[in-house]
Amino acid sequence: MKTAKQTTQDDIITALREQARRIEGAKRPEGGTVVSTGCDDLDRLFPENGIRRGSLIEWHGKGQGSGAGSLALITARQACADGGALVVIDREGTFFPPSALSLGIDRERLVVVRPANARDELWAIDQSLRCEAVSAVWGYVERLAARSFRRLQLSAEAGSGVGLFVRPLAMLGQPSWSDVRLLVEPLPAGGRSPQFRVEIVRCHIGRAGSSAAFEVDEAGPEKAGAIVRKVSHETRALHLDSQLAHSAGAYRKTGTE
Amino acid sequence: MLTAKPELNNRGVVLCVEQRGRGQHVLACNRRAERLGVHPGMPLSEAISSSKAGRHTLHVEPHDLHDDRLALGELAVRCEQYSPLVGIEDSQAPESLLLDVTGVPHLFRGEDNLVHKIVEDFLLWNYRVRVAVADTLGAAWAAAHFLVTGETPVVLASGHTKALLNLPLGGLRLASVTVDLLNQLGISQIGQLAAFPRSGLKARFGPDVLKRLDQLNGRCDEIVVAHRPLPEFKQRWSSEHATTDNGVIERIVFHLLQRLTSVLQDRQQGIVKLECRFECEQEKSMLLEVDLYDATVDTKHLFELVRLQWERRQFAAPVHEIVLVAQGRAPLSWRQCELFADGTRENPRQLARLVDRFSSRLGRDSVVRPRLRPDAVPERSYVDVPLAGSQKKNSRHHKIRMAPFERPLCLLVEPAPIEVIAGLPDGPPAVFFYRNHRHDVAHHRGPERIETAWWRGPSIRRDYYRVETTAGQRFWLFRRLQDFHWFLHGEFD
Repeated sequence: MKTAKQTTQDDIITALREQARRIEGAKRPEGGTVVSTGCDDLDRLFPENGIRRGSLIEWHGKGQGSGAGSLALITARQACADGGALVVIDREGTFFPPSALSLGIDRERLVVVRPANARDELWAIDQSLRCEAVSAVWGYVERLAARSFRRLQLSAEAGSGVGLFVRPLAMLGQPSWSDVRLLVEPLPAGGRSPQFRVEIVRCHIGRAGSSAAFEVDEAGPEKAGAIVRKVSHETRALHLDSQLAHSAGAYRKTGTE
Repeated sequence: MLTAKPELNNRGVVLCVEQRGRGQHVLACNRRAERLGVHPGMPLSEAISSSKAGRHTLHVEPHDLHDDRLALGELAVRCEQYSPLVGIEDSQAPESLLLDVTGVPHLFRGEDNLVHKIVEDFLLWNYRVRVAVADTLGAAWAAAHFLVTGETPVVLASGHTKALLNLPLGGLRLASVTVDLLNQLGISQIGQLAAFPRSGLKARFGPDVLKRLDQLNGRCDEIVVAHRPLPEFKQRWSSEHATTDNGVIERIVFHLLQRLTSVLQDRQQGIVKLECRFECEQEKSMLLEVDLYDATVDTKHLFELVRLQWERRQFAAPVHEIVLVAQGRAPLSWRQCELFADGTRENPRQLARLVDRFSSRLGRDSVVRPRLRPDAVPERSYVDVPLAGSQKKNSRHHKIRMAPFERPLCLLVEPAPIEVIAGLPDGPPAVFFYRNHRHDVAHHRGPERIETAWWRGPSIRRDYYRVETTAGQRFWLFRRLQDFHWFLHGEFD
């Protein structure tokens, strides 16, 4: 009894959390591979210093045009570095492939699926997550019942792919089976490269509430794998590959046919 | 090569008559008619009067192109015993059968034996035939029409085309207008024509002359198009006792699939497109089509794909017949299994199965890979290529030449009309209203003018702006230049 009193509250919480994790994810491998998002500072926000394979991540964008989808897609690109395919679930038909390819997505490993209804959408996500040849599943997912969510989580564990769901802010209050829920808030960038503040709203292991601001480097660094550019005391650049580097002025076209 | 002239009746005296501007003429006649002085090309009235002089009546039959073609088709099927590839010549009134006898003569102990057997067989079938064998289709055609006398077949030795140079121009399979024109110019033999410079020939008489000359010499390839398509891979079950029992139908389909795949597997072929037809009693038949990403003979996989579609439908009436047809086939590719299976991610078979399942349940057009096109109009800047059942997997794709965030990730299917307040007339937007929200524009980039050319139908003329609101949200707006209305086209999500 005496020792129990001595244990701090934090230790109890950590122990309980570990227990809960084991109960929830019995099949979950202890040390599953962790993928980097491509930016060390963003990785550090995640409880396991990156995205663990076989997990689901929710990206809640604050308002329209927040950039949550792009950040999730850049992360998906990183997850596909192992040679697996990227499945894009596009029920609304709004996914614009040229923009995705400009973010460095490999066309040869891209599969765009356009289900007609919510039932087919859920089935398609489930099948993709279960497939071992798929490294990441990306999609705008609005409503998701708790039971279906759990099913998707088990599928992700079985197929060890990463599910990246871009969801509206209103869904933040709904129950979730994802490992990490992120809130992406756009920051006024003054006409320069887009900037975001990313906040961990909830995560299975570790502490929620940590946040950091990032900038996606539009032009791309000079060399592949260069150190990320630090913009301000709290803004860090999430760079794209050098293959994407194009001069900003060269691409303006006017009605060419 | 061989020419066949079908005759309707060997005993009676038969004439085929061709309609021409100057009355009816004899197109062909049999030997008895020839003995009466009738020959092809003479006016019909003259033929009849000459036959009357010999106290005979002629049986006159109008010439029917369709029947001719059917009879020739029947002969083509009979000729499949001499060659694996039998075709009919490509012309409006075909009269020649084309046989590819490459690698065949040794089965008949030489080319001479082969051609003699053909002539004998045709005589048994009551046909007169002119047969010629040569290196090229063009040479064989010319030889059959102009070198063969009577029924003695001609076999031109390899590389022996000089004999053909003395033949008349008719041996080139040219249009009669061209032949007449050349004859007027004093060119009557193939050799004369071949001696002329090529560039001049093409300019004066069109490309056909050169093509036919090249086909004769073998400088240009000519293929025999098979008269009958390749055998169909088909399995069928039918019964007097129709059934609606799903379990029974499942078992039958599985069994048929097993038989179909085993036939294909023997030929190293896999299924790319499977058609499944269920014939119902007194109702329309139900058709299921399965398109595949990769050729396969995996029965279980194929069965699963069929079932994915079938689950969503119900049989309107009892099924009494089931037909499975492998509509699309491709050679099977064998991949060695990895002993230490490390890279399951790059396993193409796994992905192929996923794509097949998607296509089967969601429809072929719902599982795609985008292909970029060099078009500035966003809606036309890419096309969706279905992954399953497409023959050209490596179709032309234009490399992306766009910087990140130059275009929105979320492009609305239809541009949404918005209200905009601009600081200046025709200037960039200052404030806009979208989905009941007011957005104040903090920064903008543009205008970027995108127009379609006038020859592409209804013209699109837009000035695009990439705007950033005071909250940091990014949108893609445009002003339609025809009426200066504003639209929101995408979100930089």
